[in-house]
Amino acid sequence: MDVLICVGPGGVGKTTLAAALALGGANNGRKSLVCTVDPAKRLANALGIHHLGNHETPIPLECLPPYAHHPSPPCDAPFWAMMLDMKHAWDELISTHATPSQKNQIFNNRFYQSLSNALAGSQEYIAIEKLWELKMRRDYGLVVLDTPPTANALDFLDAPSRLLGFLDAEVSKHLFLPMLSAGRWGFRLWQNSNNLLMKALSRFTGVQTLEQLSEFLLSMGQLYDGFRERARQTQALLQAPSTAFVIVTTPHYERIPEVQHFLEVLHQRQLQTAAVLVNQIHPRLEPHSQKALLSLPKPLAKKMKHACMAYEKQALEDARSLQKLHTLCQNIPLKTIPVLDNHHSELERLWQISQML
Amino acid sequence: MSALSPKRLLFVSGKGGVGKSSVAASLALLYSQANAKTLLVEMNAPNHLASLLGHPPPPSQPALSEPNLWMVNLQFRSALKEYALMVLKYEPLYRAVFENRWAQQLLDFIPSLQELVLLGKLLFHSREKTPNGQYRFDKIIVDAPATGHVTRLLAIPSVLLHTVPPGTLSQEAQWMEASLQAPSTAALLVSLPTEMAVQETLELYHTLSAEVRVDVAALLLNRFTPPLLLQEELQHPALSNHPTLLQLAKQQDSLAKESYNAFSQLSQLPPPTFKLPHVPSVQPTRNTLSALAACMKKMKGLL
Repeated sequence: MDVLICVGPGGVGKTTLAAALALGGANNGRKSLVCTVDPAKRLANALGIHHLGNHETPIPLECLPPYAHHPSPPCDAPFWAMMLDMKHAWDELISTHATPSQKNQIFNNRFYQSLSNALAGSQEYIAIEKLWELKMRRDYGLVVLDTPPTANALDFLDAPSRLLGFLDAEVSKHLFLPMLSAGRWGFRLWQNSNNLLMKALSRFTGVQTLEQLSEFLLSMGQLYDGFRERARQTQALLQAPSTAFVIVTTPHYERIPEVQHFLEVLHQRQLQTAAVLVNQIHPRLEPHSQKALLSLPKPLAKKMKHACMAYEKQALEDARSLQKLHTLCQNIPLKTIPVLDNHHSELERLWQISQML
Repeated sequence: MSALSPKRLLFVSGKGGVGKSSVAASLALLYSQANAKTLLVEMNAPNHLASLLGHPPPPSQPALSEPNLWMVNLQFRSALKEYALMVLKYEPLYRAVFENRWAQQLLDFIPSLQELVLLGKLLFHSREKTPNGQYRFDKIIVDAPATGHVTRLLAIPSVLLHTVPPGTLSQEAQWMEASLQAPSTAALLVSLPTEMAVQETLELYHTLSAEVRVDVAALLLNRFTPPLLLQEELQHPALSNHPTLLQLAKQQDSLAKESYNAFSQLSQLPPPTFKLPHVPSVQPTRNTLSALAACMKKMKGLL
């Protein structure tokens, strides 16, 4: 199974291109899945279906030319999509690692209840974790992962190690060991001890918060070994030769330093960058179109001249950006996707894009 | 009454890439040039706004950048230190706690501490008063994070109230929730004439007003394209002889249609919707921001 991970700043059409990549894979005869973690439910929109759940859903392709006369039964469908539901995914993950009594203890803790919101990078972790599961348990030829548009979009590269950091038995050992021996209520007693660190922390967070948090960390800590193994495997998945990153961007001037940053970080970590996709390019007008303006009747010519000038200004700007991006990319393939008019359905658009990639 | 005049604290948000920062910076220019003491806030951002306006990067405290315009870039670590010192009141104690590796990990685990601390500092500045009892800032414009993240940020106080037991954190959360739901606080949502951007704006509007209960004062539809050609012009035989021109005309036409659709969808929401013209997305300068500001100034009912 090949894995493509789409990264890039928000608002560049990452989700659409991720879906187009998977659709392209499907068209090449590989059963493909696009998996999005985006909270804004964009993929469902892009695919023209409104509810994509936490499970893999086949996308009907009958409206596309090559599939029009060959409807396939859903189980053999070539193109699948899913959207990760964080809460559900965490429940599943805990269930696989915990004993029934641990499970209840964790599920009932208030901190767990807001975990998916709470834990920085938890979305990212779940996404990679899901990738691993898909790789192990399913028969896809290609899985494309769309990543959440975080402030620091490469946060998820560290997600497995960050999660392990949280669960690390060391934290419990250093902060909560006295409590372990004193049992559940030991914490309060310990408050009266001379532990400056814990006293100050509890002044900051409130005693009860710290108590519940420690309880939570201790019960999660019991899952540490199971998690560690899994996190190691998911980390390995990112580095596997069959995994590659795709950087998605637009020619917008603000995006160029961001792309540079992505390229540098991926390179530093020895992760493969398969391609840089530059979306929403305005190709230059053909040179003879200026002459063509002369042949138009006057009021029409004036309006069109105005439109041409505005368009050319944008096209020139895009060309300048593209040149900079080409210099940055060096040996990495760079593909451009022109601005497309919107006469088509979203799926047809995806199809059109997938043919360009 | 105009949409933004009763608002002191304004969160400018919307889908990524819709032009939030430009709108926030132009608004700040407008207000400061109208003699309102204005604070322009960036959150965990790479000082984009300062360079846009031609100023050096702002420090972690509000600093006067030009007459009536203060800027600040809120950063987690420095805001956390400030907050912790406020609670602990003793620097060596702060260092003992917050520079301890394990304590740091533990703090990282407290639900959304980062957002809480940033929001807390922001709201602190919104309540700051001068010795003569007036607010230090008349207008606070926040270049807020994009959809998804902004709801998470603004929902922090109520999430915390449900998560943490009564104590220091929940007390903080309580006053913060009240400040966000105050009538002088509002969000300004920027959108684009594309189906996805409009969809996101509609969702963001509903989440903010129904769940987070932050007032949405106005919607700004950026890059609005009016129709260029009449339908009969579009079908003119002279045009059909030139495929490139025809394609361009058609493209303009579909942009105009999308703009029209977006506007009619957004204007069904209760807050007023305003149109901003389409300008090619070349790197904005102080001049383009001033032009944008002038354009907003002319909009009836906005300021």
